[in-house]
Amino acid sequence: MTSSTATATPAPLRALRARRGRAGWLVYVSIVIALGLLSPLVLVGLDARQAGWTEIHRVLFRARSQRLLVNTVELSVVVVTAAAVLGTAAAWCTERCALPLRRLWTVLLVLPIAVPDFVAGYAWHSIRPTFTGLWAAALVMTLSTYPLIYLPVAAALRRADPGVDEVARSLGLGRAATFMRVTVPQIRPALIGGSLVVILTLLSEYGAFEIVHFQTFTTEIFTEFQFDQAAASALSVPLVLLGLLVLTGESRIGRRGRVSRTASAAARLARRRRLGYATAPVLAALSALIALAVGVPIGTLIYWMQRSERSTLPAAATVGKATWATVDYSALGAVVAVALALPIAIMAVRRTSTARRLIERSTYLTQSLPGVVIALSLVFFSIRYAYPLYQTSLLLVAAYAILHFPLALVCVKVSVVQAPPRLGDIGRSLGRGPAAVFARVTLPLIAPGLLAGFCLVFLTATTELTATLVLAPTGVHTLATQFWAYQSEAAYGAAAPYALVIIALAALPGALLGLWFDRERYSRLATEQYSRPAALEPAT
Amino acid sequence: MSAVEIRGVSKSYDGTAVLSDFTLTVADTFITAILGPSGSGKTTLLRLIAGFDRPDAGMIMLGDLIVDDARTHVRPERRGIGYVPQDGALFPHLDAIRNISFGLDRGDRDRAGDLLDLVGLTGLGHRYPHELSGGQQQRVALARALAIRPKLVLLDEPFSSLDASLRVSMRRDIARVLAETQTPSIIVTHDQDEALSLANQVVILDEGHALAHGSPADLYRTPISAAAARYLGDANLLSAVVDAGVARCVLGGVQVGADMPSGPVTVLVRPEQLRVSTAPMQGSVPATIGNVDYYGHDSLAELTLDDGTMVTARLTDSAAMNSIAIRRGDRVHVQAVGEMVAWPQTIE
Repeated sequence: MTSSTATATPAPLRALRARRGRAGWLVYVSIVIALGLLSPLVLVGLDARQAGWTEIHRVLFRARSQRLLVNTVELSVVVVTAAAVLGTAAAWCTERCALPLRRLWTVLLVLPIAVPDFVAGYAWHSIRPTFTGLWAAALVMTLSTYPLIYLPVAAALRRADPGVDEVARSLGLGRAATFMRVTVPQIRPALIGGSLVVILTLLSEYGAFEIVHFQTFTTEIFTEFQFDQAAASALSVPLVLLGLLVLTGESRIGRRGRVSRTASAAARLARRRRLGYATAPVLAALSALIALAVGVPIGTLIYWMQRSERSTLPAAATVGKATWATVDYSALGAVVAVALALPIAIMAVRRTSTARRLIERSTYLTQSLPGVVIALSLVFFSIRYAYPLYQTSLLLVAAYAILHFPLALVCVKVSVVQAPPRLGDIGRSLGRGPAAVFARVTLPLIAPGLLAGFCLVFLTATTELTATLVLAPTGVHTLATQFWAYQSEAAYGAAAPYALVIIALAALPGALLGLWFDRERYSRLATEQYSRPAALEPAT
Repeated sequence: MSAVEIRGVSKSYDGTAVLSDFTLTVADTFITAILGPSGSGKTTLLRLIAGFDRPDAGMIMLGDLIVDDARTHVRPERRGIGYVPQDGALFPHLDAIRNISFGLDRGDRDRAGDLLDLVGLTGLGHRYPHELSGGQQQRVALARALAIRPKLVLLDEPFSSLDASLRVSMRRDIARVLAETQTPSIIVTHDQDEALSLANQVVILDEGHALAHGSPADLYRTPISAAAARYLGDANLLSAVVDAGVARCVLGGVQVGADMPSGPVTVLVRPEQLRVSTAPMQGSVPATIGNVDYYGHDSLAELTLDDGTMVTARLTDSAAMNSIAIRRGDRVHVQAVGEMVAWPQTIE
């Protein structure tokens, strides 16, 4: 779609100029949003510079930092491998096998994302206090991150053309060989994308690692933050670099692995294979997975609640107040994130150009910033430049929005694709004004995606701990901070109700998300109609 | 009166000119076909007429109303033009009947049912687009465009996504529906058969310019240039020298109009103007049969004349039955029959 004519003007600039006429303002709005999202990156740099080169040098080049790096890499390898195997196997079961109660399984398998990592860590650790170190951290994180691979791989399997598999079989490949040589290449982009999100999650995790005594850069930053803020900023630098490395890795490998669908006309869904005698073992394995990932944490929480004296349990009113604070901040953060994602999504989807791609991709950089880094940069910002904002809930909401923006963008983008401008054009030609067309065509089509984006951000913000701990104004208690305070004092019984409310709050949007990703209704029509490049834009 | 008049319109996307100084008048007749290869600016033209995009320069008139010029841009919702895009582009969240009634006022909703009947989809009103076949989606899209009683309907390659057998029946149905509703329409296509069989007027578009326009018969029989002739139907274009109404070329002497001035010309010989026989005929030249494409009702045969020139001849099935061998390598005799069209060759 981009013309390849060579001119003296650099391509991004030329593209910007050409588009200024039609909805060019969208590009400028997007630039402002992207700059706002990237400001924490700049602030971290400023903050670290203020700490001074000697400080950075001292913190980074001590033996301890090397240990932290080794820990992070080891954990990433173990967790990504295990989560990829679990996620892909689960996706294969729900997408390609005739599983009894399939819809239910698609929801149950996503449910672990409603269990905060720090709650899962606490549950396992409270069962056996010797549950510590690399393998403990790996178990907890694998069980809580495999849905991040399950979801995109399941979607890719649904989109993959079953005809290709049949051709492979007709060419003499067995079932296993077909899977390795034909199916895996088709799901590879999804697998890689999911794996990178898992790594980014590992880089930014704090609570679970603190509980199982496993040190990474993030836990170290947090410890330093309480004594020496400059050292904390200095430690953020390698963390941010690691995140950026992972993201560039994604765009490199992601591009190579891109798969295009050759024949869009005859797309159909794969027939799901009957499991036969394998039904029982498969169901047992899936049940075991969910029991470990969801059953163990919830069971442990209930156990501790029942064990403790009635008097040590928090009053219902305190839990209620914390719940309200959590819902309030998370919902606000989610609304802001989705609202900011909408213009960027429209800008990126409606027309492609180097400039537009650059702006869009730059917003994904925040994904590489762990919550603690964003929180620290906002603290730095408010103390230096906007003191009245310091210790206000505004900063916390901003942190949630910045932190989870990429999640919102992914959902909103998918739905904007479903509402191509051509449909709006048709609406206009039928005599309806722009406002009516937006209300009757665009909004109904993108609403599910907006809701999904809201759910995803709300859910992630509810289960967020690190940024909340740093930014929650004094006197404001959220469910996560309350839980953290009690469990730090080993008051397991008192902590349990807060964790249960978090899971309950996150479960509903989690289930909705599972269903949204599983939807088939008009997404198939949309992908068939609009995947043809010529259909996306007027003849160019 | 003309339905659409386009004067000096230019449009470029991202610095690539799609239409430049384009001028065209579409008469207020029943169906006009705009024929051109992909990338010739057909879709852009329709989008400009519908008002989805604004021309960079030039003027567009609908009837006697200026809808686009340097100062004016009538918004698409004020133009009353129905638009049927390539794949239908039905609203995926609305069922067929609600798609059709999208542009209708509340009191006028009964009309949607009538239109559904008109396009032959009675009883399918509650199906969603993904529950309809490609052809059915196209029919709904047409009904939706007709619902607003448009002054003009634009159809952008409406049959290109349908298979061959469905295409012919859809073509007939759409022609019938447009005739019943008395709606002038413009249909763009790259399919000559479609343009010739459907339209009262054909415009040939080439690289952003109108190469020729006229009725299908005129365009086929008396094209205005060799380029236009090549565009529509199979054409043998041969160099010849005219002397007193006879053009001398590799096929011998062929008849051209008596008013053709003497000198070098390019002569057009349609494949059906060649008669092929195993026996020599008056003024025939010998040739060898090459590839033969068999179509049932007739065949197209490539013939190599003795000087190496290739021409294409149409052999009717009856001729084949009259025991003329149409096998590769056979020796035959060719004769040009009737009066040919010729254009003086410009000396460069």
